[in-house]
Amino acid sequence: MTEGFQRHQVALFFYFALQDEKLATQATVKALQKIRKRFESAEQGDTPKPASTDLNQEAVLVAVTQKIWNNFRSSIRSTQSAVTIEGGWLVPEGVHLGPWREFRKESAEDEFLILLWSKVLKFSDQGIANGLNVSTGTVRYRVGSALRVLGRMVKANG
Amino acid sequence: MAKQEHSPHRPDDFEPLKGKKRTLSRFLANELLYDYATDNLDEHRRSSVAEFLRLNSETREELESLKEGMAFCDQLAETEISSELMYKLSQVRSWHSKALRLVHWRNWPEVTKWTLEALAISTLVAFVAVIGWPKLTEMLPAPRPDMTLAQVEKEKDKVPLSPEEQMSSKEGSDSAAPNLFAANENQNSSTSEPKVESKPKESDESVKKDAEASAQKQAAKKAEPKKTTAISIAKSDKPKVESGALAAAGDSAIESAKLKSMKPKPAKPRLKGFVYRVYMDLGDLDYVTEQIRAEIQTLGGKKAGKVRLGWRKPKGSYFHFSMPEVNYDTLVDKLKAFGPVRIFKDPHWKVMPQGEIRFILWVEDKDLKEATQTSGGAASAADSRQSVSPLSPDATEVTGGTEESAGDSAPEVSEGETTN
Repeated sequence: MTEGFQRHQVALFFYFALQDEKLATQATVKALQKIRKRFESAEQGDTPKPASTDLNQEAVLVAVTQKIWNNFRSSIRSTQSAVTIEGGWLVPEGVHLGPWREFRKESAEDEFLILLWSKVLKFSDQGIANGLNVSTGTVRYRVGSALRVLGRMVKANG
Repeated sequence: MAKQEHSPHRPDDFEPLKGKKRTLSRFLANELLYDYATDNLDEHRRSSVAEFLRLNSETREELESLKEGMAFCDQLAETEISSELMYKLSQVRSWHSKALRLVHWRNWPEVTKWTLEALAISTLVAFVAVIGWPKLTEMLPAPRPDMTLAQVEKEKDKVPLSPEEQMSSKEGSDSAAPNLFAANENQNSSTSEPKVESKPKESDESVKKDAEASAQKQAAKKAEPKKTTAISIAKSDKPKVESGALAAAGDSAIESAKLKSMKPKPAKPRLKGFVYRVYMDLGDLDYVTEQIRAEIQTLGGKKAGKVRLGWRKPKGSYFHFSMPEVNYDTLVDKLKAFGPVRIFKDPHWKVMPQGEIRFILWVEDKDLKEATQTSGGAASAADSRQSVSPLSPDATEVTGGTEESAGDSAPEVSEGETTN
């Protein structure tokens, strides 16, 4: 996982999680700094797990993004998103973020984040489980539950 | 039974169903929908779920929703980030990181670093010089003020001596005065205080008498140098005094001198006594001397000093006598019969008893005087000292057959000298 790919993944996460370009930028910067420090400390031998494998990198990203999310989630000003076309996040044409905002509002926080990591960022269940320090069964259960809710939102919005 | 190959997404601990197919509940069917949709179920569970879905429409709707959600997430996953945003994200630093970067002055340019260091040093120096140093000096202990070891104040206002002090000082000066007076009788001086440099020789009794008499007199206006001369003489006489009385007189004189030096000198009291100084120039001195002596004795005159009346000296005859005051005119008339008479009344410390007056008569040998004048001025220096001397300021010329210069005065005869 390259640094650019990491930057891309982290930016996507906070963009869909915070739905606020300014906050997303700030959170992305902070998360990248923390990820950089963790990888540096892992390379220096401070941590038992090597940072070279993707699984470990996914786990670090999950852990860091969750921590930064916890710091920024209280800064979300309203349920409405503050994203613009000129913001830099290029959502595919025809994709409406309404259901996503409804889903963020209606779903549980853990299910929302796990879905984001699993189905948007395409992280593996094991990596997510390592990052959250839970079992993969828990990850799959939460993902299934989140998908059913999201699906209903998507169906309702047509 | 051969072990089925696990799908990549199926955990290893997933055990396949054994035995007959079981009928799934709706709850369990819903829970297995995600695995069914991701093909993570074994064949038995998958067929059981498929069978349940065929019979249950709500579960089928759940499955459809799940698939819709997965498709939606797949679309969201295709979101891309512009290169500009990516660059911005790579360059953006939080305020904390920005501050840290600023704090790391090693990353600054060299010029900036040197400038800031110089500015910091100059600011520090200015602060210390302007603000810090005065405060620091205030905190330091103050230097000890100059210690005053002694202080001498000059008394501007002269305190006059008390009468006792005056009397004591007067006694001291008077005790020496008789000695001085006696020593200077041979000198021509119209002043009441003679200038003496020789050693006084008097008995203790005379000193005491004079001290008692001087206690009642007050000094007239006297020149300061004469007074100081007397005082200095009194001081210098201290080591030379041998007798106890003289030593006492000298000590008192010294004490009075000290008092005078320390305290402001008061005005000298006026001399209460007086003496008549009579001068005559007559020839045939021996015969005239006897005549004058007889006249004085006839009028009741008595010698006032130790020498006899008409003490014959090389240049004249000396008469020091006292007589009743009532015979003053008679004496003057009788003296006029011999020749011109010059009489001066000088103030003197010695006060005569009531009704008595004192005379000092000097009859100079006229013949000898003329002889010395014709021979030259060789003897004029010695003679002028005897014949001409300034009068004291208080002396007054009483009478005189001729107008003489005020400088003439009779020489003072020392009381200690004996006559032939």
